[in-house]
Amino acid sequence: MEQFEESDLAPALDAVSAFVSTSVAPLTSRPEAPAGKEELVSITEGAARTGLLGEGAGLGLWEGVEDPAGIRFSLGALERVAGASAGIAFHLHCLALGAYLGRKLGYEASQSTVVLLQGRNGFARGALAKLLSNDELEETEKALLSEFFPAIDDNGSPNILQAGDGWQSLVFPTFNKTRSLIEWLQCDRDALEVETYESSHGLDETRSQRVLLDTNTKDLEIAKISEEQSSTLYIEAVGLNAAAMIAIGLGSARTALAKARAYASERRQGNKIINEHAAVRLLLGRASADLGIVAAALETVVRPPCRLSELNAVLRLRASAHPLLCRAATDLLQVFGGYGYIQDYGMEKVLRDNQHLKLSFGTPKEIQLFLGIQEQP
Amino acid sequence: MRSLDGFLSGDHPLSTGRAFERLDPKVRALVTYEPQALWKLDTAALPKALGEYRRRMRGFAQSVLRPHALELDCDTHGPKSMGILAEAARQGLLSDLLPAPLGTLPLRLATRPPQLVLSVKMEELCTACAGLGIMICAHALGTMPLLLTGNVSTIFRHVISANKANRNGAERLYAFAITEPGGGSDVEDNEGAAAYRPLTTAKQANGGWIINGRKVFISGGDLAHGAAVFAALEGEGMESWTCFLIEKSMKGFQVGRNELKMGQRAVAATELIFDDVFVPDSHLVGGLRNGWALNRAVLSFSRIPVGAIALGIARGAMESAIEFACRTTMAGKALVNYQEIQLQIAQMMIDTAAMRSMIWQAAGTWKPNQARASMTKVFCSDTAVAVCESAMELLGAHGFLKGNSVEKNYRDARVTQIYEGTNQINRLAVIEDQASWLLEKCENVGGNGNG
Repeated sequence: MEQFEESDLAPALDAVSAFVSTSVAPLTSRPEAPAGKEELVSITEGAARTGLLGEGAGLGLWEGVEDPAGIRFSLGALERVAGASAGIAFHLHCLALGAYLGRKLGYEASQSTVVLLQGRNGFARGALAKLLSNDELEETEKALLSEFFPAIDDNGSPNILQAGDGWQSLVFPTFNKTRSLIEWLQCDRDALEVETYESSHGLDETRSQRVLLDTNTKDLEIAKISEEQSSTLYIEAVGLNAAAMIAIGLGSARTALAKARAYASERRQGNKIINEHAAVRLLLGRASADLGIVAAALETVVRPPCRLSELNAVLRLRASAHPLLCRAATDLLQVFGGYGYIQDYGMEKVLRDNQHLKLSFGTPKEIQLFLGIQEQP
Repeated sequence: MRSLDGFLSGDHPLSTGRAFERLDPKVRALVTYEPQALWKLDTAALPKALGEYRRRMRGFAQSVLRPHALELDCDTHGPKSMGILAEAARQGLLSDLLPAPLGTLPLRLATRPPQLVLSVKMEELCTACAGLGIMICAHALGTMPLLLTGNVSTIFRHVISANKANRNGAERLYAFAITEPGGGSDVEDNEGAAAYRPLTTAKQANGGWIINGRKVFISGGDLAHGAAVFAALEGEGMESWTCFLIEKSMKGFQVGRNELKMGQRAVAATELIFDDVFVPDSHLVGGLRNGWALNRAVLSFSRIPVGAIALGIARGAMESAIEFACRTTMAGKALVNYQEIQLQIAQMMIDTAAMRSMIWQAAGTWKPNQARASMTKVFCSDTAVAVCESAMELLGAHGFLKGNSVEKNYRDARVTQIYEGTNQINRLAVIEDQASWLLEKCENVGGNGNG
């Protein structure tokens, strides 16, 4: 595998920007008509051709992440794609993370594998923290974890997968209640019953899907990795996913800030352009400050978390970053007044996308509970 | 006796109920412990007739609007919406701004300020669906400038006859049309208006006026029989603004596009286009150059009910979140048993109660005040968005699924921070009201107050 050197970073990110300009932006220029299945296939193929969705060679999304430059590339690339479309960035992230985890688990390489990390009820009220700390679990906590981890043999409540159309296999962790440990599985789409929800709040280019194991499917093969590797990989997956969601939110909000600044420098109210009004400057300024905080925080993520303390660091960022990103998105929508509420202008989409990201795989409150339980003496 | 986790059961000696039983009866006459569902508690606090009206509005909202709210979020003004509108007309909801026999408001409610009655109605309708609630109530806003002329002839010719038609099932709705493509805030703010060049103009003609221009974001504009349209006299500025009642049948009046909106999709926000529309003198509303005054008066009246719209949306989100917390289990227990969920629900209850208190207080006067109306609108819309965010967060990853309603509540709530003046404009309206007092303060502390 190629090493991702610091000197590779700038040209690689420039190449992503070029890909976004030529292949993504033209398909996402009308926010009220989000990219459909065909456009998504076209973008996915383009991403594969440019190496953004690689085959583990070391220079694509979620490749070479052992090097700080590799992490910075992945987060920077997602941010750039999200500048055109958060949903498409999320779609590429799901495919890349699925492929990365598949490789680590020893499954056959695939560019159409996605990962389902999201179980039920956030972070199991902090029981997840105890599991990852190898603490003794009470029966109630085991029950919480059994429900939290994806359990595709339907226990009455859906596991929600957010992904673009076209995925072919699913990688997911599950909780072995008897042995109190995490196990990883892979499953072909054919072995699953997939129900697509009518629509969801944001990330319009992807779908919220309910996945259930087809009752005729034979037992699935558990990935052949050690208990410790399994737990460490889970920490890594959650951490990378968390950082990705911050990057995607940041990318979309940065575009919104640029659009709002441009709008505010042209639109007139009364006898002056609106960015001469303190009310508008305050909205733009607070959004700029919020995005600055999130960007600075994201720069501290320089390697995949492999210990709980490192995961905590990423989750701390996430618990604060998404509320800030949502506040920035809503402030920037407000700059547009009534037009901000109209789909054609794209500002409401940025807000919906960021709200959606905030709720996915651990809401701020759920993360707070996860963190809070570990800070007890 | 059952109890939620974290609380003593009602028969425990240390429970609050049992403790109060031991108080002296004379004290219990003053301090009681009688837990009740909040809706019942609030309804009981209203005058009897208004409480009955609230019950009736809730019944209508829950039986007629709520079952279709999610479906009609994607189907603006389709056949099902028209059926709902017809039912609202039949039940007198399109004509109850005025008491019987002029309208359908129960006579006993004529002794209550109309903005209070309308606020009670808006909260209930918008708890079920803000879009449908506004589809039904936009007409009240459209008739408001006509009523505020105080001209008996105008009121009888247009408002009373519309009430009669609506009661008889031949819907006759009016829209309120002030916003122009280039000047949303300019028509809501004095200083902006002073410099604004209005796009919609009126030129005098034989026996009437020729109107040209466009209005945008007009709620229910595509359904309306006519609209109260504000236009400047040719060659003049906003000081000449005049209100004209323009009917759809008038030549040159076109309904433009319905906007694709983030939320409140069950009601259209429509563009209205006027291309040499001849409006007879009989349709001039409130006199020449009185449009700005009428507009300001309407906004002082309507901003309080906008607060009620926001409250209804927030309550809808809260009720959906509570329903989810009661029906969804985690490790064998309903979510509502977990303390973090109880805290979130309690905060939503506190927030909605605060909104309602502010609305009922501001609406309880016969003379709506600009500052109070703007304060109510700003506080309620901001709080509603926060409540909807909290409800979404309570549902976690289920919060973004359309079927759980709360994401729709959030989308619906967001525009209440924008329409009837952005919250920034409304904050400045509060200051405008307080300007004399603030200038006096400047003089007292040695400033000259001239900035």
